This record gives sequence, structure tokens and C-alpha cells, in this order.
Amino acid sequence: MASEFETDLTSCPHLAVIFSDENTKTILLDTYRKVATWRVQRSQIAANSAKRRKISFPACRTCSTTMLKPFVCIRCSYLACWHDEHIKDHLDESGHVLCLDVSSGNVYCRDCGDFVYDSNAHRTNIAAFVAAEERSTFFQEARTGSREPFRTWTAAEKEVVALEAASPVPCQARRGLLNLGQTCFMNVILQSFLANPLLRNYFLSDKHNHKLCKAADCTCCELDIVFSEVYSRNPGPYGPASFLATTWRSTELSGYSQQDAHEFFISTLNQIHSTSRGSTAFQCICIIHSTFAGMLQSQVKCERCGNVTTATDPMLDISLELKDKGGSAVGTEMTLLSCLRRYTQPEKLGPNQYSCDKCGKASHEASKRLSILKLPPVLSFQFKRFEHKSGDKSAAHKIEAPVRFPATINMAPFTTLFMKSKERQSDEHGSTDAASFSHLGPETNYEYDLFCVVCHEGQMDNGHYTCFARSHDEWYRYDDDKVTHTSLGECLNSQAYMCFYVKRRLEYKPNTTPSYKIAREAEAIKEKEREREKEAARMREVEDALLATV
Amino acid sequence: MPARNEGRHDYLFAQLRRRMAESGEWDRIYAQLRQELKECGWRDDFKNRSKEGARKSEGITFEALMDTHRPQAEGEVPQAVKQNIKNMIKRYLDSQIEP
Repeated sequence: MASEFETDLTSCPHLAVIFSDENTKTILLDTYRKVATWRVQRSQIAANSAKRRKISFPACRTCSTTMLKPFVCIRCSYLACWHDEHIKDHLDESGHVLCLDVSSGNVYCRDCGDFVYDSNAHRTNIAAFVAAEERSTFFQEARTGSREPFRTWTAAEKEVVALEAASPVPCQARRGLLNLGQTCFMNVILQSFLANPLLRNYFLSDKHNHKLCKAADCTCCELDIVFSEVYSRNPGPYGPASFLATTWRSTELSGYSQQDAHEFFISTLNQIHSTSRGSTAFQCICIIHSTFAGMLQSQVKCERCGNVTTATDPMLDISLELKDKGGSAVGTEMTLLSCLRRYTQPEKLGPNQYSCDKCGKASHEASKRLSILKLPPVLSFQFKRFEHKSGDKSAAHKIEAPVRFPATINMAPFTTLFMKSKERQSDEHGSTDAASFSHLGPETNYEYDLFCVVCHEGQMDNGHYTCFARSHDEWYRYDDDKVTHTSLGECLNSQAYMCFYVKRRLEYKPNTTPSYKIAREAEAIKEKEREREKEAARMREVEDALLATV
Repeated sequence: MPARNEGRHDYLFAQLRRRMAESGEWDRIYAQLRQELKECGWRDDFKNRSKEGARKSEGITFEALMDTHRPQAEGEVPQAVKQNIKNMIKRYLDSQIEP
């Protein structure tokens, strides 16, 4: 397949040679596998201080010190330390060229004199690491049939043929969006959708083709149109007029006045959900719910009798308060993590707010605690910057205080599973460990990477929305039609209103055809049957007519 | 010629290091350090500075980049974090060495 795009990037010819030969490639793959397995086992030992398990650490072959950051020669598996340059000495003495950093999987080339990047090596490293993690994940084994290990996609015969005829397009694209009259609130949310890997994959794989969909005022089609326009390779800005018009027709959010971006976000998610084929009111698997839906657990504990009641609620995002209940401004710096801690800390319920079923008294001592029962693939946070003074929407006050947020976040401490374990651990041992608990699975299962930040400047009614969004590892600033290349630092220094994070590892279920598709296929078969019978009946009529003439 | 005590200290150090690694204690303390540095924004600052620095100096090697940025990064580690980690290490050592 002729392609103007390079799919295999390498900065080191020595590493490229290894991948081109089947024998050396197999040996290298095996090394990656061993390294990943050891790395995962190592993190499990660390996670479990209570159990007295040990793992052997390799000693440097040159100086015999226990290596905390071992390096292994790719040619002969010589293990040596980096710090005292013993691995480099080995490479010089042996004439071998490449070695692997066990902790990260990165490759150092003696000839190139640097760590090198090779897309094959990179992919192999990640695949080995993911496979090793899956093998050690408790949930992966426990419920067979509910989770599947990750498998790389390989094209089936039909697909190979289709691919040869297709012309490839790059899987990343950026286009400014024209402001159609105070519509920056819509533009930033559209940019967040465009930067969202799961939504991008859904629409680029043609899962909702606007040319085939026959529904009227279909917001899902409108988003498909936006994706098509942005990936059309037209570099100029695009005006999402039909998206705006459809939004007007579908909700009460109409007119040219400035809207709240978060309100628009939630409203649009609901619109896309309702116009997605096969969406349901309960346990929906449409693209919106598959991407954004998580579960919150609210646990109420009666302090008098210890009775615990739990309630679960679905959620599409998390809105975080910036002010204390007392209304006082926060003294120390506010961070996303401190807001989340406040969100999930036990909260005393006032008198008469709760009456216990078990001990039957209107309890004065009850506490409520929120935790995340199920983490969604995309986590959206909103900082509640706009305070409305009871009912009077025009007298809104904006909290300008900046909130520091990280480029990556580990959500484990805020999950129900983790909190329960912590409670149990402190009951048993009287102390808790800062590190994670091994039965909660590897840390990476709870890690998220920032990909979009929506910022608001000015006052509520005459402000301006802009956003930062990430394409692979590069950050861009979107100010309506103006798109500029920027840095992570610039993004993290901005005053965030909303932050979007995507999960580093996704979970996979066995492939099942959605019920609406099965119904559609059954209907198509019935339709064919009916056609056949009609045709047969017609033939019989013709025959009868012919016989009558004889 | 090295003093007799130095040899013994080297041996002790090597033993402790091995025990610390094999029991997972080193990794636990390292995880705590990583967490604290992430929370205060140190990690993102360091990453951003090195990345943008690498972008400006075309063809710079990893080691050269580290040599350029390491001093500032080390200087920016908050005192509270340094103290906390030192205490954790000290607690471990106290638990391993007979008084």
C-alpha cells in the first residue's frame, strides 16, 4: 500500500536492524517480556508490606551492588548498573551496542551515544508491560467472561482488501472554530470532543455516518460532521453553524447569548446519547456512556449503631466545590487533589437529615461519604467557579482563585475499593500504608492523563472561553479560530474551569453484538423471507394464468 | 590504605541496600517520594522545562539534557518533602540495626 506517511519511526539504525531479522526480533521480544514480568512482580512486593514476600534483585556483574535501576545488554543479557557506567564499559569491551533500562523499557545505543526511540521497540515494550499487568490483575482472573486481555487488531481478509483500496489520513488533525456570535462556549466543548481519543475513534471509524442516518435534528450526526470537517485536511477555520442550529432546536439553550460551557457540555452529552442508535435509559452502552459514565457511591453511616446504607448514582462528570462549607476562602493553595479529597471526605449530616432504619432514631450523629465506585474511561472535572445568589441568575459571582491540576492523576485513593481496603487495614493493623494494595491491581489501572483544559476569563456574562488540548504529546491553545502551538507548562499555568483526563489503560469485554443490531439483522432476514414468498406467490399466479390459457 | 572501618561500612551499606530492595521498602519509599513530588507540581515543572529545553537544543542527548537541568530540579525539591523522605529512610534503618 503506497503511503505518504511513515508508520515506523526510528532514530537508531542498529535497533531497526534487530526488528528486521526474525531471530534477533524474537530474542528481543522475549527480553521485553521477562523485563515486564519482573517489573510488575517488583511493584507487587512493594505494595504488600504486610506479607513477608521477597523478590531477588539482580546484582551488577561488574561491581556486585544490588541494582535498583538495572540495565541489561540486549545481545548477551549482561546485567550491569548505569550509575557507575558499568553497562557502558561492558558494551565497549564486548562490542555489543544496545542495552535496555529495565525500569522503563527504554533502549540506550552505545554507537548513537544516547537513548533512542524506535516505534517498534516502543510498541513492544508497552505490549509486554500491559500483558504482564493483566496477568497480575485480580479482576482479570476472577470474573472470567467479563474481562478480556488486550489483543492487537489484525485485519481480516475482507479488511485487508478494503485497506489496499483506501487512502490513509493522519489520525490527528487540528482546526480552529469560527465564533458565530458569543459561541466560544460551544467551540471549547467541541474542541474537547475532538481531542477526546474515544470519541475520535468512534467517529473516525464511521460508527455514526451522517450520510446514512435518517434521523432529523440528530446531534450525533452533527458531531460526525464536525469530525469530518476537521479531518478533511482543510487547514482554515470551520464554522459549526449546523451544530449550533441543531442545539437550538433540541434544547432550551438558544439564542446568541453566552452560555455556560459546562451546562452546554452536559446538555450536549445528553443530546448525543439520545440520538445514538441503541441508546437505553438504563445501563446504556452508547458512545457517550461508554466514554463518560461512571458510578458514584454515597455511604451513610449511623454513628450510634454503626448501620451503613449505601446508594449508587450514575455520573457523567465530577463538579468540585472551591469554597469551604463555611464559605471561607481556602488559605493554602487549592489543587485538584485537595478538591477531590474534600469531595470524598466524611461529612457530618445535620440533625433531622437522616433517620436510621436500624436503631430507629432520628440520628444526630450520622456521616455521609462519597466515593467513586466505577471509574469512566474519560474523567471530566468542573471547578464550580460561578456562584449564583439564590435564584437571581444575573447576580453571579466568579471565584477567580487558580486551582493547580496535574498532567497525570492517580484516582485510586478516591475509589470505593481503595477506601474500603484502607478502612479494613486500619482496623486490622492500626495503621495504613501509603503505597497501593496489591489486590487492587497495578497502579496504572487507576492512572489518567490530562488531554484538555477549558479556561474562562472575565466575568460570567461577558467573559471568553479558550481551551488547551493535547495531540499525542504536544499541547495547542485554541482561541476560537486561532490555534497556536504551546507547552504543557503554559497549560498547567492557566486558570482552569474544566479539566478532561483519559484513562491510561482501558478494560476490554468479549465482543458482543449490540441487541439493536441483532434485532436489525433478524428484521432484515424476515424481510428477505417475505420478499421470497411474495415472489413465489407471483410466480404461482403467472403459472396459473399460463395454464388457464392452455 | 583504607581504614578498617571503611571496609566494614561499605559491607554494611551493601547489605542494607540489598535488604531494602528485596523487602520492597526501597520501592515503597520511592513511591512516596514520587507521589509527593507529583502533588506539589515538581514533576510537571521538571518535565516541561526539560522538554521545552530539548526542543530548543536540537540533537541534544539524554545525558546532556540531564546535566543541564538536574541542578535546578534538585534545588526545587521542597524542604518538607526532603525531610519526610529522610525520616522514612531513618525509620527503616533504625528498624534494621541493633542499638
